[in-house]
Amino acid sequence: MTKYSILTPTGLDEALELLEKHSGNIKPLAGGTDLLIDFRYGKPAPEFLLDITCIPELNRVKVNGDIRIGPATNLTDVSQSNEIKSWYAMLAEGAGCVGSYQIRNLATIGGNICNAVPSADTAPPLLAADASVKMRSKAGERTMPVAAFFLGPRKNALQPGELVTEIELPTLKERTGSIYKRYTHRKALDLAVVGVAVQLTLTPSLEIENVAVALGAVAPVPLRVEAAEKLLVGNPYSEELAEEAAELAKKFAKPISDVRSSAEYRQKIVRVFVKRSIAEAHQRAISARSGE
Amino acid sequence: MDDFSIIGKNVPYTDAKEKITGKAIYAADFRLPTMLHGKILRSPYPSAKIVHIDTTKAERLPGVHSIATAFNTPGTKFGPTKSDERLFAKERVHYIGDDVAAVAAIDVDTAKEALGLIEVEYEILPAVFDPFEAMQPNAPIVHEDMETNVCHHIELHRGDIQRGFDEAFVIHEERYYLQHQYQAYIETNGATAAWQGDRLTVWAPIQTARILATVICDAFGIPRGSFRFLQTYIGGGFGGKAYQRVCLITAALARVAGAPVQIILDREEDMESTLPRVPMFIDLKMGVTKEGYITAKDAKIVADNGAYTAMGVVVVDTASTRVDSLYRLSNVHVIADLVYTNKVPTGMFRGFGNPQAHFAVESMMDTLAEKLGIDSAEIRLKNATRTGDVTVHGWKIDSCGLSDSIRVAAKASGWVEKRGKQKEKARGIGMACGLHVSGNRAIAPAGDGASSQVRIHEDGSVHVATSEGDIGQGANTIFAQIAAEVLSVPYDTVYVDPLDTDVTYFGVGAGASRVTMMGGNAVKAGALAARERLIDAAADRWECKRSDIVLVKGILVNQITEAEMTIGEAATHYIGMTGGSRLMGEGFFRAEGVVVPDKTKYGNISLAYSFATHVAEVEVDLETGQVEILKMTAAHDSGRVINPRAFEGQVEGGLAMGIWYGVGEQLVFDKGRVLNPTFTDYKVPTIRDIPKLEVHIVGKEDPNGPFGAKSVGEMAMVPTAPAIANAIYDAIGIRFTELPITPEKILKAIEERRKNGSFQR
Repeated sequence: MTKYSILTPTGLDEALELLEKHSGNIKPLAGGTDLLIDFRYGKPAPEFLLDITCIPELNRVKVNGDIRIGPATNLTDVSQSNEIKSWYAMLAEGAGCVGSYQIRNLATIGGNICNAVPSADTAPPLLAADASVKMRSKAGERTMPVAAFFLGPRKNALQPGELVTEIELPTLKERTGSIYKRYTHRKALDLAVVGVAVQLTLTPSLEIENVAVALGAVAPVPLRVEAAEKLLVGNPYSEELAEEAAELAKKFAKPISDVRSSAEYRQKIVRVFVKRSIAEAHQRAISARSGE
Repeated sequence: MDDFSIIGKNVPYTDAKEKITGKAIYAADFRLPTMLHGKILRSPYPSAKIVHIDTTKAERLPGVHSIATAFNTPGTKFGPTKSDERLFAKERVHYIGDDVAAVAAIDVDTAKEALGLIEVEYEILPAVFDPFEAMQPNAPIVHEDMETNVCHHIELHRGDIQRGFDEAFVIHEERYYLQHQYQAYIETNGATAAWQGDRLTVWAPIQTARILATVICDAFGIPRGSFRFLQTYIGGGFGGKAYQRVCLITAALARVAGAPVQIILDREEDMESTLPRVPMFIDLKMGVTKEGYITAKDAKIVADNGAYTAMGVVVVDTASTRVDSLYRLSNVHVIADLVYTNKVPTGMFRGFGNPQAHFAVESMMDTLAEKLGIDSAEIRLKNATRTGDVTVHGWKIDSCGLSDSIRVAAKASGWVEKRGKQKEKARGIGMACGLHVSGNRAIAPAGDGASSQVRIHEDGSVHVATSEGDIGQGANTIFAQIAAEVLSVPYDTVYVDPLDTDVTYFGVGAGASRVTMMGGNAVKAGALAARERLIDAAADRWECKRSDIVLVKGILVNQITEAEMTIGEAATHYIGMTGGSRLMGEGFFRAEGVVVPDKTKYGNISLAYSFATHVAEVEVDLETGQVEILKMTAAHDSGRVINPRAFEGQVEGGLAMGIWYGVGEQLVFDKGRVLNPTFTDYKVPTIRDIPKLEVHIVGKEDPNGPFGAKSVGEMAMVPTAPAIANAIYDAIGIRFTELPITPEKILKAIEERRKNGSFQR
């Protein structure tokens, strides 16, 4: 039987203290919707689980121009935050489609990125948002772009003794729209076969000033499709342009075949979903402008 | 319509409150003092020789009580239709999941840990996974003691098949493939077993006590009187719990342990080792006249049995014949083979072979209609079986609402306005029909029927007992309604006992959609008999003629003296009058006129047949292949409906199951291993995946059914998948002949046609 003790620190310092003290024998618990399943399937559990959801400073969304999300914020809160919904719709959508209501009430954004599965639904939005991840250990604090945080399936950049303490989203310009779209076999309670996040900012004259295209579930880590972004920037949106960008994304994706989908089908979905996501993000960017 | 007080009313399920409040005791909730927990060690290989089993290390693990293997349990072969099973594998394993050993321990985790300590040395042997390959002369033989992998072969002729095709104006041939579908009940299989000397008691969620009793007594060599079965609440059965080996394994382990044992399967092992739907390849050839009348139907079926047979034989017989009574056929030929492979054994699942055959025939009906330029609804109306028909296999159709169901479903769905007219939106509408039995004599060759005991207590409350079993379909609710109606007492004063074979009389159980027809008639007979006893008691008390007495709203009234007596008072008097007998009516129902089909499968196998038409409306995403099911319209003839809400629940559940049989569900195999044995990767629909469902009742009273009722449970999913395939064809002009019709398959088909220029959109 899997046996472990759950430690419930009330402050970050205490948490870091415990992490160091039990180094090699402790894992952070940030909801447990992946971790506890691993144990059930026979993955050895450490002696201690460090429940970070009881640390208030890690469990909130702070808005002050930029948006800072505590890693222990659950996905329901992320998906329902008004600031996230209005500035980073794609992240609200990504967080809002994970699992079921019950799972989203437990699962956290920190857990979703630290678990680092290729199909994680908050990963492409965070990547497209140019989010950064702040980490702290007893030794100090560091920040890195989320793109560097994902190292491979179930591998992240955390060092022993380190905790993610904040996920930072930069301040956005007006005329920005974003979307997260994912392909699943059913409409809820499913894993992304392909996930696409697009964030797009328009100039006053409606050229694409800035765009990010991020893909999930098509490679060991979530990816930005820079070639597609380069193609789009500086041009006004057109269907043809989106189609061309989507074709680049399709070529760029390196999916695998598994029981959920063949690699070929995933690539085709990448094309269609990138095209549609660009169109919808563009629409949202226009309405964001007219709404002001 | 007759004026009934409870029949035809939406009374709540008898067990709704217990289930909703979490009080119902399911298999895994059940506890006995000193009970141990068991886990099963299963074969990791599809075909292998067992060289050696060493349980020493596992036995030494603290908390382990006993280990059962082929070496300390009976080795007799047994099975519901073919004796091809043993309790534990001794020399050979036949599929990934085959039972090799079982551990009883103080808790589940200890038992699980002990499994890892059992050392089994295997010698891997050649295996065969494809039924066609398995039929080849040089194929590896799945069962070492058999000469061939063909487990069951039938060939039937009716009429003159050659003349039928000669008379045809259009002939079409096609191969259809139907996949492994898993029942996906909420509750996995499990059992608790206890021995007292040579007497065995099993508590389990099994649908058909009778099959289990027969098999278990064979396996352990105990007399039938030494076996007692008590049915626990069933968290969904769908045929999958008609028979389950886990009951036998649990009993074997309990005997070795000398203590009660409970085994509850994990979801993964349930998906890898229970009995999913029998997959079939169906080569179908049909001919029609210029006017659209069917002249001939020729089918060749190859069915994948998996490693053991369970009820596969009867499933294949059903797939070979049942659909032939949907339309007026005269010339029929079928060859069917049920073939062993080194894969999970397959078996009973809602529809029992009938959804498979209907997918083929109902897909082909649309193809034939198109070739003739006839509307799909019209070709079905032309051929539809009607009341009074004796069909090609000798089935007597005493009530048939098929044509009505076609008309009602077409009208309600806007068929004429939509069919073939929404292609620019890649939208389509499709139809399929179906029939099903209300009981099947072929599964009860000794005689089909049912019994009941209706007991009335001194306070007027009523107990009803049968051996049929409520598997969540609402059988007990229907029984309570029938008893309450006959006795004219309030519905909530009737209690239906849980099934206990020590107490209840004969019953075949919940299979073949027989429970309302057989059990309902038996309960009606039992309640009528109890009513006679009430009148006996009142006549004795009042010293009057029986004919002076009437029963009105639960009160016995002497029409001459206007004296009144409650049924409780009558039941009390009855005890004194008889010297101790509780007032009880026994009801027996014999399926008169129903026969075991002869060798050629001729003969009326059921008292009544249900009919339905489903209409699917879909929209296809031409870039991704995704299908949005927009709406399902279902029109059902189930005779008189006893509980409309329960009926709608059955139809809606069947539609949901049928939709995903059509577009989503499939166990995927790689060299005999199930690749998706979890709900993460075996997708069943969520509520968001189910479109608007519209259910219409078109049935009229059936002469044989209790209050005119016929079956609905299995019927509910028989025509669903072909209706969807036909709707997809209407939307994009591409015919899919393999289930499930996944987005990936659709997109591939569209792209192939785009390449060769035959798809312009």
